[in-house]
Amino acid sequence: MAKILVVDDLPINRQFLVTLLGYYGHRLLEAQDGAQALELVRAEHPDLVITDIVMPTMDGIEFVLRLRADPALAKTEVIFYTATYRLREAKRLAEVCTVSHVIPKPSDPDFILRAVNKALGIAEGTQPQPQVQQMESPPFSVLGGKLSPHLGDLQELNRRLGRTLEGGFALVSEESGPIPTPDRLVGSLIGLQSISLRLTGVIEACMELSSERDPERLLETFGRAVQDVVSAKYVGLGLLGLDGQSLRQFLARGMDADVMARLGAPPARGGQLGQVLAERRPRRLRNPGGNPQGVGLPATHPPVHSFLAVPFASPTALHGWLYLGDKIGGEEFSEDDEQLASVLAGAAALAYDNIMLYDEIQRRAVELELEVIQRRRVEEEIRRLNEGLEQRITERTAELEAVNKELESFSYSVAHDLRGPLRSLDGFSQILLEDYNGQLDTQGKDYLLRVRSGAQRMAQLIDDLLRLSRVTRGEIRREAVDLSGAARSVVTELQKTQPERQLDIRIEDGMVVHGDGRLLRLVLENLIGNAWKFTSKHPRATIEFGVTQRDGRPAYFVRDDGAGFDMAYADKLFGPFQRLHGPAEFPGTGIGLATVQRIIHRHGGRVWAEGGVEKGATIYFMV
Amino acid sequence: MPNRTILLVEDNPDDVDLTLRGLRKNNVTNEVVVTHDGVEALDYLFGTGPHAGRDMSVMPAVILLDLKLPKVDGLEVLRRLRADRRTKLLPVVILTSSNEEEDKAKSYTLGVNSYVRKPVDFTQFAEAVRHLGLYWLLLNEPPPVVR
Repeated sequence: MAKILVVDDLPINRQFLVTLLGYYGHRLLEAQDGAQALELVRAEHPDLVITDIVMPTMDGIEFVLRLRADPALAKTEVIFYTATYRLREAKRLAEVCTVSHVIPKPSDPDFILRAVNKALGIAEGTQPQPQVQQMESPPFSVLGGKLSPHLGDLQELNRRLGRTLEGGFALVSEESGPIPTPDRLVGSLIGLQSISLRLTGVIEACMELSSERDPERLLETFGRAVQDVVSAKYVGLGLLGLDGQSLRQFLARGMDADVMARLGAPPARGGQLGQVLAERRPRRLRNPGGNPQGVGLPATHPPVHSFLAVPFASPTALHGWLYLGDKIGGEEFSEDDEQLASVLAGAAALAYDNIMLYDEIQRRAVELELEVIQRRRVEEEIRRLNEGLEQRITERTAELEAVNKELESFSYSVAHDLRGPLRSLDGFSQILLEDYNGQLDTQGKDYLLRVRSGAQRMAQLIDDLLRLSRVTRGEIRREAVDLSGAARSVVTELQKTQPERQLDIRIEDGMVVHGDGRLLRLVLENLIGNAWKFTSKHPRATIEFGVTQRDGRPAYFVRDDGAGFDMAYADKLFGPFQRLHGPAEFPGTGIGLATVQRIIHRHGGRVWAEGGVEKGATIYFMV
Repeated sequence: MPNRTILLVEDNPDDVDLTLRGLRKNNVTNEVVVTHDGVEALDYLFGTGPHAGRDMSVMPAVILLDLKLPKVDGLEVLRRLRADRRTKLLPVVILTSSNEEEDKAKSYTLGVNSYVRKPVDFTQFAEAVRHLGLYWLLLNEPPPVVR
């Protein structure tokens, strides 16, 4: 007898074949998936392999392809044993995998035995035929009655099978007598097979449904599986639209294109189907006469003598309904049919939920990806703009630095080259006065003195201009600056130059600001120096340096009661070379307040003046 | 004192005249050697070029050095003097129009003995020159001559 390997992930399916073929004296091996089967084939070299197609880990197709790829095993005979509703697909795959036979589930034992014998090359009738009652049951023939009567048989059968297997195959090979009640055993075996195969069909359909990612294919598979498992002539599947009142999709099986075209979709909530939706419970009835309108289907629907409808619903969503019309090989649908259809509908609905969620996740993922891309693009744009900006800033800075350099070298030239000629003017005028004194009249001497004074004033102007430009250059170095102390020191210097001046000088204590000490001292030198100068025509005068509040911030001020100025010209005070007094009145170059303003602005502060003619002047500054 | 000379390095002929007048008016009769650029000054001090074979035992009691000079500027002249064994101790006074902080800092870093700014006012200028003459020729003891 032959060595046969049975490959199936469901123990009950393996047990069926093992029992059946063992009964005919074959030696059986079992594997629960392709991987395990491959190992066994390598180790045991069976004469025949009967394999399921849909299995976890490694499926039947993969297994057979690997088998064919191994020269040592390639010649092994293989039979596909697969659910009926996959038959067409299985036959195509069989060609691809050079598998000679396909046995559909369910099939009766005789059919299986014939296929096995054919595959093994055993001629008909050469094998001792046990007393097997032939069962004229087409592949689609399934249990018409209830499951429960068979369960008793099943249990009994299991018990007997157990005993038979314990006794070993010796029972058969020794031919020590007929198996007890073989008729009944075979009958029960067939009953077991039917139940097993229907359940297998459901399980395989469920496996297939749960792995489906395309909603259209899912509905197609669902319809085909339920039609095969329940054996119905017609299947209709209606999907509810968003309003829950009308159908957005209707699929039908079991009728030709013409009928389909005439049919149109049944009303979503009409008749029996409406009840199914409302109650979320299956409905099963006979419809003698077959009028489709009797069960709520359109008049154009082919006659329906028996009817079964179940909700197409998961625990969270009601997607629609499924109906089956005209039980094949029976007057009506059974309770088993109802349960199987319900189980399949529930599984399909869950899978449908999952697909919708999966689609939703996919859509979100795409949206997110788009958003990320968009964001990256914006970031790139910002980075590019920033680079452009940095580039421009760099260029501008370089330009400014170049201009500053030029200015510096210009200042340097001014200091050296302009002062030289002035020194000549002054020097030789003086020499004329000294060496040619006798030859010059008073007017001539006066002219020479004016030349000298002009040269000296110009020298002063140059020095002041240079100081102003120096203020503009260089870093502001901020530190705590004691303005009160600096002001006192400035006053002390001034008093040394004119000790005879009668002045009341008031300096507030403890004025400290944050700024550049050297530059702020220059501010005080200019402001106090101005006050000193513009009070010089008054026999008694007051100079005040203090602090007040403006806009909630401290404003420092230097106030005098000297010559003052006309407020109409207040804005002119801070321009370079702007003077409100003639040089004969008060000496000066008009650079002092311009310097003050520039220093205060460089500190980010502001400066302004208040005063009146002969009413003194007050210069305020904030830093 | 008759041996003690002044080296004036000045490119502006007006300033040369004014300086010389300032010295003479104040009765400084010592010899004043005038050079008009940095190269000429270095030739004189190291006895090279037109001054080859000069008596190198005679070194100026003081060098009055302008900063802005043709060919080799004052700071470079100062640097070379300080780098040479024979001249590194010679008293050097920078006499310039420049009031730049940077010029002052560089001069002192290179080892100048004094930095005097030329006033525009000739009276003040003459006074400055008088002080320089009196100080460096009369009061100051010169460094030993290096052979």
